[in-house]
Amino acid sequence: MGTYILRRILINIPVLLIITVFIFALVEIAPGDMADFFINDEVLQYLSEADIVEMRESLGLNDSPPVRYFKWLGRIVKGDLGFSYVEKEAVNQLIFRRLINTSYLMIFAFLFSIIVGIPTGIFISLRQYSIADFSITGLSFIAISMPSFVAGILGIYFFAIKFPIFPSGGMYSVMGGRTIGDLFFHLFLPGVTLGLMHMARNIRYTRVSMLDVLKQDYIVTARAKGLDKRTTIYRHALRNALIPIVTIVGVVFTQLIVGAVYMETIYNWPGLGRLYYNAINARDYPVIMGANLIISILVLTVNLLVDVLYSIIDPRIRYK
Amino acid sequence: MKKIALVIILTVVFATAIFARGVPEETKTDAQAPQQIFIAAYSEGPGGNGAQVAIPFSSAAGHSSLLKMYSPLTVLSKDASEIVPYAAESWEASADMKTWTFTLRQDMRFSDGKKITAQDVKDTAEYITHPEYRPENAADRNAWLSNVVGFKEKTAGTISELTSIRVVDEFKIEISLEVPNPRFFANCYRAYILPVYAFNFDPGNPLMTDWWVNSTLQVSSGPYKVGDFRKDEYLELIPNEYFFLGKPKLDKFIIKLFGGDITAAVLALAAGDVMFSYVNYDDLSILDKNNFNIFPGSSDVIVFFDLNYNNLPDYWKDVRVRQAIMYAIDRKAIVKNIFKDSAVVYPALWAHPITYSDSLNWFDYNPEKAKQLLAEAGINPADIVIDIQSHAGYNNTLNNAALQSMQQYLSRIGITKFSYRFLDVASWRSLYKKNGAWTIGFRGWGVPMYGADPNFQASNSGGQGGDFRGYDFDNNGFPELIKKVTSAPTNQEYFKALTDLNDLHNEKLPVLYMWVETRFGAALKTVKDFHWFPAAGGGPYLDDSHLWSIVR
Repeated sequence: MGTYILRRILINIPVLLIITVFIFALVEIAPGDMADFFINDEVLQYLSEADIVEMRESLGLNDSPPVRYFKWLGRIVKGDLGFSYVEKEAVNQLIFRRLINTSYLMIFAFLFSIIVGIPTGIFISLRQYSIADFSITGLSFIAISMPSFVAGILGIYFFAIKFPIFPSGGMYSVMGGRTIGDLFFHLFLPGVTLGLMHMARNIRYTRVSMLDVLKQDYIVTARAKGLDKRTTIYRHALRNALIPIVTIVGVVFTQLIVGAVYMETIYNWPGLGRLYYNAINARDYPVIMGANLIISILVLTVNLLVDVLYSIIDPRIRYK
Repeated sequence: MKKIALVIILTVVFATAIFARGVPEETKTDAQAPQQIFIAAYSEGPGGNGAQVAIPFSSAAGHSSLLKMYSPLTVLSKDASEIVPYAAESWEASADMKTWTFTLRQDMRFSDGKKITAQDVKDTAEYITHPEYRPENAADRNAWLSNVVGFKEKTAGTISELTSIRVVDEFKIEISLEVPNPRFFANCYRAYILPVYAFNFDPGNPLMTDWWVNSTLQVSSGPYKVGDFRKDEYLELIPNEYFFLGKPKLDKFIIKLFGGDITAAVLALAAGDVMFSYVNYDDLSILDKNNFNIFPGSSDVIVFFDLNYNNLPDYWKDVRVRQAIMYAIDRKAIVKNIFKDSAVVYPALWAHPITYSDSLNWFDYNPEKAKQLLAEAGINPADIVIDIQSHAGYNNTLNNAALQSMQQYLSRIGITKFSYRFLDVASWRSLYKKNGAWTIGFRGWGVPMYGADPNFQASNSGGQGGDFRGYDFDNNGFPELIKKVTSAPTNQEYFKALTDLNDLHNEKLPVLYMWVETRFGAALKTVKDFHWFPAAGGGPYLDDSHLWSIVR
């Protein structure tokens, strides 16, 4: 297993490099750069060509794209993600701060999708074709079909405007105590709406998987040899039913990041997603590249963890 | 049993969410003594400047926020219709209109108690013309000082002082101009007085310091000073007890930051989490009319088709082709049915009724006339290609619907090659600066009565450096009229000159005029004496924010 993990980590390094080259090329192809963002119509008339060259020089835009990429890579090796002239802050510091904020949102949404989704899936799988099964399955289809930003806006409309239980956005109350409770209070609505789709999918996967497992011979055998229903379900059926759920965790992580871009915008959550969105608009290369690097590392790490977890849950699987 | 356990767990989760928020300081303070706290999305919308909410002379917008912290020499009136005194209580020009003397109020003090004098005005001018001073947007600095003697030399570093700006006495400052400008006072409404003596940073780095939002460093010349700042979250302002119009009634004026996203701000407004926000017309319906005061006003932003004659086929130079397009589009129907009358059509560049003459052609919908004009010009409508690039600021549902209906109108006269795409800010600016990258732009331009550059769309340089659009304004009679505008000594003559300029614009039609949108702000009715106006760039306009209060 140790060799396998080491090999995966080594493979991930070139994968990471390819991702950064790809993202750099994509940004490069897009028209306009950071200087275009700064030198707007009003400023243009008062700047000479020399001024613009100087500004481009200070932003590091005068080098050719490959030189800029390798300069960026050189800094990365030293652990320096560069400086954001749009946000006026070192990218390391900026991304770290925003990542912490986004992680609150993602962890909450993830836990919500697991804690509510899996038990509900088990619950309806044990009551197949009941009213509860049909109702929850129907609602799950709606939740799966609903894009995050729609769920987000509906969440605000119903729970912040029509029935003002939760705040409409932000991470803390303005002038509030910045307590964990206050954070949780602000986290609840964006977290639930971000996790809604994944919760619904967990319900569907768990239900189908459980129904599949419950029909297996070993479950019948377990019941026949006298094991009580509870032990049969939770010790034998559930553990095997969870295997396909674990495989989608890696995918969920990526989708949560994508969903966070919308959620953070709608809920005014100062996280990495909103930063990334604004950076793309401003062609803020250091932030775009830095954020991509960090997100890529996280996604690759989660995928590796999922594979490891997979072998723990299913002892039949052994990596070499 | 299991069901009960499930219900208990869910109840605990919800109860935790609702009640575990802790007690914010605001509530604690409320219990002791009611505080006057105003929370607003003041940096959002077209007049806002996003995160750069507190730095003057760095952006062409955000002036309704900046006025809360810094006092300019003059200011727009409440409805932005005229220039009125502010820090300068009066001004006078020499006979040749080249030397202006401003007399400051004598009761002004910075928030640290230091008296505001003419020397502070001069120091401000010297600071923002320092050769290393490099804001992201120098429009406000240049509007005030670019015509001052020595401006180019000072900003280039060949002279060290603007001797043309002279302190006459403690409260009088004299400014000498390169060329006569009878309306120079109108160039001073964004000339904020800064406490340069209190700056602890190099002039070259005004955007790289936290001085502007640091409550222990920042010094204010406006009604409020910085009390607290949370990056990405909010800027908290507290009263400047020395403010010359009186200490503000609000205890805290909080500008909540939404990262430039108006949707989040409007939802927060509807939820009552903020007390004011800019609101798009199609978002007004979610606000409860019983709880909000709506503040409508003309945006002073003309929406038009910008034509790049450098790249368009030659037949576009024939005014009959441009007139045909105007006649083919029923602008009034678009405004009525799509914008629900929240916009008005306009006939010429300066979209102010006071500058409209009776002879203006309003290009009322007339497809037959359009066909006739194209036939007279010898153009087959099927050969006309309209490829529009739209500015990011106009990428919304209403404009999208408007462009779609234009496509249908044009197809009725046989123009079927019609396409449009919305660009993000960097792409737009990149394409606009690189001649050859665009043909027709769908965009807007702020044309407030005061402060707008009369050269825009009326001279070959177009106020944008170089022959940007390829229309020969110089040989079509525009320079003489611009000279009349810039040298008009009185309001009456100024309006007359703009009227003549409008007539010529309407006749020559170098761009295709569409509409001017009405913009809206909405504030909770609990905010007493509140005033907001959608002035271009946020003004600044007189809003008497020191008088605002919260009614409980």
